[in-house]
Order: sequence, then structure tokens, then C-alpha cells
Amino acid sequence: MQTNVSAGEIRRDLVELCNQGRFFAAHMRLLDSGLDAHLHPSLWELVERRATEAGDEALAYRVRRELLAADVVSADTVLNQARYEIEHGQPGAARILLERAFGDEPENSEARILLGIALASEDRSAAIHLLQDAEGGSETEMLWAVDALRNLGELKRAMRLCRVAVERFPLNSMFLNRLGWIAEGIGDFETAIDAAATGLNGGGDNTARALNRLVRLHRRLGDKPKAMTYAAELLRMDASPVQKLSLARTLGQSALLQSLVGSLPSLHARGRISASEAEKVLTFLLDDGHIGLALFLWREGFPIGAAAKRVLIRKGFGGELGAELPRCVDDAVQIRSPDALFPLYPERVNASLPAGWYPALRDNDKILLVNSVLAAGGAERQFLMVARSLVAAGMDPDRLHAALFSIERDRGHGHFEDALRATGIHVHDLARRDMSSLSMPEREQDIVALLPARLRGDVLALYDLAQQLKPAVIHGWQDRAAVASGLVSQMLDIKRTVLSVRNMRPSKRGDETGWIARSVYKDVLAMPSVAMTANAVEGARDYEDWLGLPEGDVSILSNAVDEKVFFSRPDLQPSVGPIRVLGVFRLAENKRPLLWVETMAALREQHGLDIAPRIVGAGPIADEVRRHAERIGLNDLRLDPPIEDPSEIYRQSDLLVLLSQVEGTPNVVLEAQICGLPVAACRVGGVSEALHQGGPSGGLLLGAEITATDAADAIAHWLPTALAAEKEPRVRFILERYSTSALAERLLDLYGRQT
Amino acid sequence: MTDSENRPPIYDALRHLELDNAALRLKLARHEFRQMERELKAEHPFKLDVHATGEPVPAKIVIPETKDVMLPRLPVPMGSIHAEDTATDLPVIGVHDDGLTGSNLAAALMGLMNTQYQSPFARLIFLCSSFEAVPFLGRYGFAFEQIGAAEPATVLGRLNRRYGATQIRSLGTGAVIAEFREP
Amino acid sequence: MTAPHRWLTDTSDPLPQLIADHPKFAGREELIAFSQTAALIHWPTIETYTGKVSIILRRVGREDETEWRNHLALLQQLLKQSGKNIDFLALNDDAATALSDEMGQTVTAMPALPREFRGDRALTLSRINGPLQLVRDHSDALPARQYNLARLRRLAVMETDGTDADLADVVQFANGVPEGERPHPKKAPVIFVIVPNGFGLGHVTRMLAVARHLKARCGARVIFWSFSRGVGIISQFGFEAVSRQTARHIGAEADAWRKWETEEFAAVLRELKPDLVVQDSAALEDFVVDALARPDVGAARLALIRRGMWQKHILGTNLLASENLADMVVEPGDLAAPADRGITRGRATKTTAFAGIEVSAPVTLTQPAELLDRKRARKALRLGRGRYCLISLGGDAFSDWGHLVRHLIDAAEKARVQLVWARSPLAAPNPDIDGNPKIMTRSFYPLAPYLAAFDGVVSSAGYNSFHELMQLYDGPVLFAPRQHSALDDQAARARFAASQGWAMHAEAAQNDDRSISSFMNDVRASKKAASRPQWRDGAAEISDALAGLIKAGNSPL
Repeated sequence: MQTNVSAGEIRRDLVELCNQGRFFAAHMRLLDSGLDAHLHPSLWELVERRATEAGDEALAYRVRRELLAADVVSADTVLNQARYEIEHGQPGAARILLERAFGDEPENSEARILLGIALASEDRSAAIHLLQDAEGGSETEMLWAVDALRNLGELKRAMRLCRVAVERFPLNSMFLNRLGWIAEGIGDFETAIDAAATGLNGGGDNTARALNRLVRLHRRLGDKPKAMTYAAELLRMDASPVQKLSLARTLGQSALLQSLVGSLPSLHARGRISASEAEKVLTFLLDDGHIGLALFLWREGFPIGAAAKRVLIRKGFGGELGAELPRCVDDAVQIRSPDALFPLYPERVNASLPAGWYPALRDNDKILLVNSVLAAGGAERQFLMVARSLVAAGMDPDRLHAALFSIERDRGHGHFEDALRATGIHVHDLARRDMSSLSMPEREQDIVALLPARLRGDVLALYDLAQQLKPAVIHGWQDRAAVASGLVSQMLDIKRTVLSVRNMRPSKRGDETGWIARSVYKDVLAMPSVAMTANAVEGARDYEDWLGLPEGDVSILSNAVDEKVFFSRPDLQPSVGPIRVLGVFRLAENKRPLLWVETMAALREQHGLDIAPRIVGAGPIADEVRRHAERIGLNDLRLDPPIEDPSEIYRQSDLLVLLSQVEGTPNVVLEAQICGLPVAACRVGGVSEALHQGGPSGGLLLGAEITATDAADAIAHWLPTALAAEKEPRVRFILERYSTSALAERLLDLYGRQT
Repeated sequence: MTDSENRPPIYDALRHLELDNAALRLKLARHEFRQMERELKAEHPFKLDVHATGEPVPAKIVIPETKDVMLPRLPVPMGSIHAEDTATDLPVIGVHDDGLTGSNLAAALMGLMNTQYQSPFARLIFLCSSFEAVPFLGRYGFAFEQIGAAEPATVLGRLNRRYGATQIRSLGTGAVIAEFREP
Repeated sequence: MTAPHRWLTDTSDPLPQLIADHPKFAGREELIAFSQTAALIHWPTIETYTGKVSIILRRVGREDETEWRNHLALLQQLLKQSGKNIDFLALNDDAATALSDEMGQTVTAMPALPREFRGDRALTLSRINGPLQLVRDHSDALPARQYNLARLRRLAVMETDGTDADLADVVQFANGVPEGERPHPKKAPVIFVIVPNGFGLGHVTRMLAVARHLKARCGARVIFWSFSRGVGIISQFGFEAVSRQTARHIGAEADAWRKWETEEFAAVLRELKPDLVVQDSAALEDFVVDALARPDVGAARLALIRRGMWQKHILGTNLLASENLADMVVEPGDLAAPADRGITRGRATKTTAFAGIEVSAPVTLTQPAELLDRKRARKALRLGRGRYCLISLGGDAFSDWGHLVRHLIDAAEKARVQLVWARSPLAAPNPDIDGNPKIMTRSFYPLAPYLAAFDGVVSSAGYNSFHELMQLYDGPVLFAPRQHSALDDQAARARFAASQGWAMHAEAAQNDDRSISSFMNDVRASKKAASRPQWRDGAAEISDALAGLIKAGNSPL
């Protein structure tokens, strides 16, 4: 009786204290009462529940711990605790709790999802299994599940779940936004556009955001008129400055962006920009590398966050001792990151290094290879070749580490992952790297804080990995990885750096962010430990010109063909049917697939050739290619998706035709020739270098700006000789220049192998 | 700056020493106040012996209020009659000279300065209808604005934006002439 | 930057400065966007405006051609979506034709500006490095944001480096056409004079001298923007004055203060649209330059009156950078110029952006005709019979010259000369001196008209005192130069005067009282100086130069 009365009194006290929001006092009351959780779980649950509802998570956590210790928890308590552990980076603890309470196949939908999230880093397939059933869950559960699947790289599953969520919770714009992002990520532009278009009704900044997304999507699709239409709609709105700045950035219109920034001070002065919006503008500009424009607005009275201000002042911008803040936009725009941060280490410039500073590569030294993704592309294939050739040359795979910024399969980033792992080297997915133990000195933190956001993310992840591995060599492949590798090598003082660049400078590829790469390259290439390579002479010269380097500074690192995979079968009988004409290329504008199709049609109609045309490839204009072929009567065009090992395709073909407008050293030209095929290709990029010419076995070089008729004429004229000629000279040409052993030799030289 | 015209030479020497010394600062402030008192009680305070023919030109130009540019607030000094200038919670008040001149002006200022010296109640900006008190106010480190014949209430908006002033009061009576209200 | 509220501008666009100068655009009620870019960023304002809207279309400028085309394409989309009716203008016929083709809309050439400059001086503008710059042959380029094109077009013909179609259009527009020339109205010029808060009344005195001439000769309305507390003196001399305080006066942070000063100065310029702004100072203040670069403050000419004789330890060329910003730099002549050891020496032979550096005759406020005779001077100062020696040393004299003053007191007593201490009209009474029975105190401004009352003068060697004493007084003079002057090399002046036999020079290290006694004996004897320079009217020369500047054309000195 006594106990019950006490418990009742306590309960009343607790209710009163909780009503007043005095949860700490309520907890103390419980502790003082001597009524432990084991015997009076409901009292403890009361406090826990009320604290959770009020958002006092820390106190609720403490109370739950007592309940858990007493082993008298309710399902809700377990779920709350698991959620807390996940939010605070303790998925393991969450997993244990959930499995103990609900088993490893929970029926409770929230438990199922939370367990899936908790398992994500440990047991991917179990996690996926649990998460994909979230369709019946609550709004919050579905959101968690979508995000968890995204984090696992299961974008298609996430998208499916998102679609269901959009139907079930049409008022929650977060699902629509996610649907749009995911769809865009996997190249499903139609869904992405639909999602964005639905978001147009969101009102205010939601509409502006949706318009921005539509502009971006249509630009990616090359649909300029539509992009302009949406852009104009956004400009008509009284949208927030960040949305308009975003638009200018998406459109690649730097003058518009500068003008917008110039107009902001007077808007701010008239109170038309809130303090929080002003801060967002500054963050936007700093994330975009526009240090100067941020400094200009700071000078004009925009509120700058204390942390950003400290970093800027430490790096010499503003403050009493630093440079004066720019007074006008024209001056401000000259100060951009990363350019304004260079030289990163002025004390190292012109410093003479002691002899033996660059020690030879030792037998146990690690080599870190860095690339952006492992998509089905020529450069990615070459990255794989680097790994294969080094292992084939006898290097212990345990020394080799490949780091990729993304290998998400649903986005097509993991095409070569299996092949790369099959070499036995370590493969690191930087997108899913746990950086909780990243430690960085303040000087490096300041550098990173002022980098443009995307570069910042790349550098942080790569820095973390490289700091852990301590490689003797870092080899960055293609501009994105080369830039990050160059910066990280400086920050960690890695002994040797190799930067292997694309076949032409970024601006020629339509990449408007090339100025970032330029400023990084110019800075890091000043260090003697850094070497730059290109895979063709034309690319090397282009980069030298772009960077103002003397001729020869960019050396050649030729592509390699895996002769074990690509080889000619001399015993193969020539085809008796139609001439099997092969094209292997991405279905994008610059590869001119439409010209290819028209050339085939011309070969047939104008020269009466019996051909069986086949294209192996995928890309944004695949549908258009198909339609065009039908339109011009090439109904038997075979259009196959890319496969990881196309060697059989070559052996099933008689001839390769490549009519790209833009090429580096096209792998297909090498592969086709080593498989014995004659090749006809346009003289662009490194094609001429890669083509065996002269003699009956020689390939056909076509003019860069050629018409279908002229191409067909030339091919028809050359073809009989080429088909009848010996394969051996082509094969030998490739083996002498582009073998894996040649590549390995060259790489080891670059890496400082002892001679 | 011609503050050195105020003080006997020995205080210049003292000023060159560590001014962190609070006692010294108090002494200086007290000296300044005594000096000010003497000036304001002199027979012809503010007298300018100027050999010029023709009529003096009164202050005419009034600075328009700048409304569409965001400008930072400017500080209002407490004047050299105060040892410390750290009081941040005092209201900023404009004081209009009511068009007073000569010894009337001096007497009114003395009354205000006395109160301000004993027990500072505000940060003061002096709104001058003529140039008479400018050298005096400047020498003792006060902020002033010349408004000529303009109605003092019409300048409160600008004073608020520039200094954070919340009121304008009459020097002679202390009455509130205008009070700032957020638009 | 504040432009008329019906103007939609891009802040780095120099065109608004020219349009503000255009007689046909003043007071127009329509909304004008000064470029297609400005139209894009301010479109919501355009769309909601119920009155007439014009957009001045521009050819390719600092953006690349792709972006330029994209801006026009966006504009076309906006027109289509909004259905808004807009008048399109261009800076000239060629631009109108080209833009009309590009837009598929009627584009009308704007009426040209009347030509203002008739000489052959040329200035080159360029945007090749990004920001708009004035390119010079033998020196670094200057940022054009410090200049107002409306002002530049009165100084020179403008040219471009030919790489920027829009800039070529702007420059052509700025140069104007001769057919549109308008006769200069015969109105009295409005002149702003800026005087800093220097030590004493030096700047005020010099500019009062010049202002009197400007008022007398061309009826100018001269307004002083004064940081000096001598603003009451300015008013008593018959000039309007605006009394201002420096950042130091109110304990403000320099940048914050400068923003206010720029805005408020620009606001007053906007109302009064002066013909000339002249500053008497070592260098032009930032707020002056920034305010004058605004688009709607008129096209005032800018002059700097910069005294020479800087201390020799002041080095570097930053301080001289004002030469590039002014239309005219005048150095008020100094009798002691041969002894000038500072960096302004010899600058008259240098060329700057477009200004010449001239040297005038020395400037004094008092002219010979204004000197009172001994009797009247003594009466005005209430001095009776006997010998009087004026001591004019300034407020901090005792820290520099304590021992000298003691010697003077002793020597004066022995020679039966009465000492008269000149108190600056801005200074408070000095009890140490006021209470001293051996010294009389008098306060009067200016000093020179009363010099005849004294049998001798002990003075600092500041510009005004020096030139008044050396040109307008014939009694014995002992110079005791200020030792702690930041800029003015008073010691060089004093030494020079002594070397010429015009005066004695009290050296700080000097301790002997014999020279003091000797001086005091000269005072007793009312000795006249052997020779002193002839007075010249430097103020009139400067005034004529400034008046000439206002009329446009080269500065005649």
C-alpha cells in the first residue's frame, strides 16, 4: 500500500515536472524516489517519452539507458534509443538493440528500417533486404529508407521507393526532390524532369529551385531553348538571390553572376535580403570559389560567419593585417579559389632540396592510383590497364591502391569495378569513406575550407585515405582526380606525383570549370616531384599550351591494350556474308553517331556494298540514333549496349569505322587493330598516332570535317585492299607501342623505380 | 588635432605616459572639466576675434538622409571630461542648442556638462544652429552636427541611422523635442 | 551606389555616368535599364512597372560572345513570356543596326551627347585585363572606377584598344558630337573646398585666400566642407561651410566613417552639382574620389592644392598617387623651395594621368593693402606705447621651446620689450600664460594685418606665418620651427630664411641666450630687415587656374 501510494505521488510529481518541461528535475525525482526501472518501468517510460516528445534527446537517452539496463524496455523505447544511436554515429549499438528486441527480421516496420540503416556499413545485402520493404512505412520511415538506400548506392531501389512515397505523401516535397536527384543521378532524365516540373507548384523558393533544376536538366540534354524558357521564368520571379546566383552558375554565365552580386548590396541596404539569406549568399560564393565576391559583400556589410571570417583572415584576406577587402565587383572577381590560395606553401617554392630527396621506389612502397569513376569509358579502361599491367609486371597487388570518387553502379560508375578488384589490388570507394577520424593541421584545414565545395569534398576524402596509407606515389587520372591528387600530394608532401590528363584541355570539352584545374596544375607542376602525362602528342601539346609550359614538359604515357584479351585469331575464317562494319563509341554528339549511320547508308546505297552495320555503345542520344537510322532506311542497324569485354565483338567484325569529332587515343582503334581489323577513322586528337598507316594493311585516315558521302567514297575505295591485306602488320604495330609491358615499364619509370 | 591647445604643457607630458593608469585618467578628466568650466564662465565664451569685413554666412546646407544604402552605426564619444569611454548602454541623444548664443549658450552648456560629468546619462550629439560652439565642442571631444536653421526633429532620422540616436532634446530646457519610432 | 531610382544598372557599368550628363535624359520619367544584363537581373521591377520602359542594348563587352548571345536570348524569352512592351535603344547607329539584327526588334540609336572637349589630349580606356582601366604609355594602368567618365570627357578625347565593341560604343558616346555642342551657360560656378583638420589653421587660411579671389573674380559660390574647427572663421569670411568631423574626432573605425562620408558628400554633390571640387591637403581623400565617381553627382572637375616642403623622411610614391586622380595639382609656391628635401620636390616636371602639376607664387590670405599701420594696429590690439614682441608659436610650443620662451622672457625683460602671446582663435585660454604677468595675450585672426603693431616677431615656420612675415613685415623675425610636425618641414624653411639673411633661426639644440638677447636688442631698436622678398599674389594665380579649369581646357599658369 505504501509503495503504491509513493508510486502514485511520484507519478503525479513527474507529470507536473514534465508539464513544466523540467525533465532533468523529473529524472532526479525518479532517482531519489528509489523506484527503480526494473519494478516501475512505466514511471521511467513516462519521463523518457515526455522528454523525447519535447526534444530533450540527451536526457531521454539517459533515462532509456536505465530502462535498457533493467531490461524492461518497450518497443517504442528501443526504437527511440536505436534512432538516437544512429543519429549519433553508433550504428553498431543500434543494431544490437534492435536485433535483441525485434530479431533480425523485424515485423515492426520502423524497426525494420532502422535495422537496415544500422546494418548498412556492415552487411550491405541484409541492409538492402530490410530497407526495400519500406513502402508501407510512415512518412518519416520512408524518408529514412530512401536516404539509406541512396547512401548504399542503391539508387534504383531508392527511386522505386521514392515513387511510392510521392504517391502516398504528395504534400511532402522532400520525396519529389529526392526522386529528381536520384533520377538525374542514374541518367533517367525523363523522371527527373517530371519530378522537377511537379515541384513548380511548390511556390516561392521551391518553385525557383525546381526551375533551376529544369534548366540544369535541359542543359545536360542539350536542349537549350527549353533551358532558356525555364531560366526566363526564374528571372521573372522575385526569387531569393541564391536561386538567381545558382541559375547564373548553371547557365555558365559569369558576367550575369557578377552583375547579380553587384546588385545585392543595395537590396541588402533596403532590407530586402534577410540576414540568413545573406549568409547563404556568402556560403554559395565561397563554395563556388568566389572568394573575392564574398569579400566584396563582406565589405558591403553582409554578415559573415565567425568561422569563415577567421579562416579568411588567417589566409590573409581582410582583417587589420590582411589585404584590403575589394571595393568593387570588377576587382573582387579576380580573387578566386583555388588560384588565390597559391602558392600553398610559399616556403617550398624555389627551395633547393637535398640530394636523394626523391628516393627510388622501394619494394614495399605503396602506390595510390586515383580516378573519378569506373564508368564504361576509354580512360577508365586505361585505368584498369594500369592496374593490370603493374600486376602483370610482377608488382605485389597488396602495394597497389585504387581510390575512386564514386563506384555507384546505378549511376554507371562501377562498370569496371569487378575487373579492377579481380586484379587483386585494394579498391577504395571514397564516397563511402568514414572520415570520422580525419585529422588535419590547421593550415591544411584553412586551405580546404576555402576550396570550391566539390573540390573540397574530393580533397578531404583523398587526404584521409592518403594520410592513412602514406603512399610513396600518387597517380591522379583525368582532371578531377589529377587536381585532387595534386593538392593532396602537396598537403601531405607525397614524394612523387603523376598527373595523367585528358586528351584536350577542359574548355575544349565544354567544361567551364577548367580554370580550377589550370590554377592547380600551374602551382603543383612547379614542384620537381610532380610529372604530367598525356596519352597522345596532340593532347600533350594542348595542355602545354594551355598551362604555358615548355614543349616536352608533358610526357607521353601511351595507352595499353591487354594482349591477353585482345588478340587476332588467325584461324578465323573470313566472313562470307555481308561486311560486318563495327562502330564502338559513346552515343553522344561529339562521337558523331548520326554521321556514322549516314555513312553506312551511303556505302550501301551509293556503292552497293553489302554491309551489316553494328554499333556497340550507349549514351544520351541513343534514341535519336535509332530513329535516324530508321528514317534513312538503315533498318538493320544493330545497336548493342556496351559490354565489359568487347574483344569477341572485334573478332566477329570485319572492319572498324570511327567518325568522332573529338578523340584522345581511342582505345577502340588500338583494340580493333590488335584484333587484326582494318580501321577507318577521322584525323582528330591522337587517332593518327594510333593508326597503322602505309602499306595495304594500313588504316584509312579521313578528314576531320568530312561528309557521309565523302567518307563512304573513301571507305569504299580503300576497303577491298584493306580486307584482303595481312593482319600481322597492324597487330605488330600495336604490340610494339601499346603493350601492357610497355605501359608497366613506363609507369615504373615515372614512379621512380631504381635503375 | 588641436587638443594640445587646451592643456598646459605638463599634461601633455603626462599624456605620453601610460594612459592605462585609471587614476591619471581621472585626473585628466577632472582637469578637462575644470578647464571647460573656466571657459564657459569666461566673459566672452566662444569669442572669435576675426578681422573680416562683410556679414558672416550662417550654416545653410543640411545633409540629406541616405535611406537606400546600408551604413554601419558610428560611435558617439563621451568627451574628454570622462575618464572611461566604455559605457555602452547609455542612450544616444541629440541635444539642440535652441539657437542660443554667447553666454546664454555657455550657461546652458554648463548646466548640461555638469550633470553629464557628475553622472553621465547619455552619449550626446550636439546639434548646432551656428558655428559658435564648434571649436569648444571639438576641443572637448564631443560629437556635433551642424543643422543651421533646420527644425531639429527633421534630422532625427539621419541621426538614428548614423549614431543610433533615439531622442532629440532641448539644451535649454531638457525637454524632448523628438523621439525616434521605427517606421 | 545610389542612382536615380528609375535607373536599373550594373554596378560596374560606366555608362550611367554619361547618361547623367545627357541633357536629353535629365528628368525623364521612364524606367531605363542600362544593359540587357541589368534588365535580366532587375526584370521583376521591369515587369511590374506601369510606365514606359527602355532598355539600352549593348554589344559584346567584358562577357564572352556566347554569354552575350545568351543574355539576348534570355531577354527575348522574357519579352515573350511577359508580353511587356519595351523600347530598345543603342549607343549609336552601328550598334543599333547590329543589335536589331540580333534581337529581331527595332532598336533606336540614342541622341548623341554634345561634345565637351575640344583639345587633342587623348586617354585610352581598356578592359583587356578585366576591370576597366585607364591605360598609360609609360606607367601602370589606373583603375577607371575612381573616375567619372562625365568628367573625363571634359578633359580628353577617349579611345579604346579596339578589342571591346561595347567599350568602343561607350567611348564614342562619351566623346559626343560637335553638332550637339551647347554654349556654356553663364552661371556663377559652384565650388566645393575641402579642408582637412590640420594642425592650426593653415589649410583654412590658404583656401580662404583662394576662395576670396574666386568669389571676387567670377562670382563663385564657394562652399567649404570643413573638418577644421575653424569653420566659424570661414563663415565670418563670408563663405558657406559644412562642419564635419573625422573618424578620429568621434572614435569611429576608419572604414565605417569613410562609407558615411562618401554617401553624405555624394548626397550634397547630387543636390548642388558643383563645377569644381578642390581639396587643400597632402592627398585626395578616398571619400572625395569615391563620391565623385558616382553617376549622378555631376561632372565636377577635381583639383588638389598640395603644399610642398614635406619632411625628408616621408618616402614612397603611394602618397603621390593623388596626382593621378586630380585634373589639376597646384603647389602653392614656397619661398624656401630651394631647401625642399621632400618627395614633392620637382614634381612639376612629372606627368600624371591627365593633370599637370603647377607651382604658383606663395599664397597669403592678407594682401598688402589690408595691412594696418602701426597706430591703428596697436589701437585694435589695445597696445599702448613701448616696444612689443609678438610670440606666435602655437599650442605645443612649451614642449618644443620651453627653454626658448624662458630665454625670451628674460631677454625681453632686460631689453624692456613687452611680450605678446598670440593665442589661436581655436585654442582655449592657457592659464600658465594668461596668469604670467610678464606676457600679454591676444587672440586675433588673421595675424598679418596687425604685424605693424610689433617691433619683432618670434614665430613658428608654418607656411602661412612664414610667408606673411617674409613678404608683409619688415621687422626682426626669429623663427622657432615646430619640431614634431608630421609633414611640414618647418626647420628647412627657418634655416633657409636665416641663410638668406631674412630672419634668425632658433635651433632646438641651441642653448645660448646671446642670440636671443641680440634678437631682443634688435626688437628694442625696432630694426628693419635688410631685405625680404617682394609679395606676390599666389592666391590670385591659383584662383585663375581653377577658374580656367572650370571652363574646360588646359590649365594656364
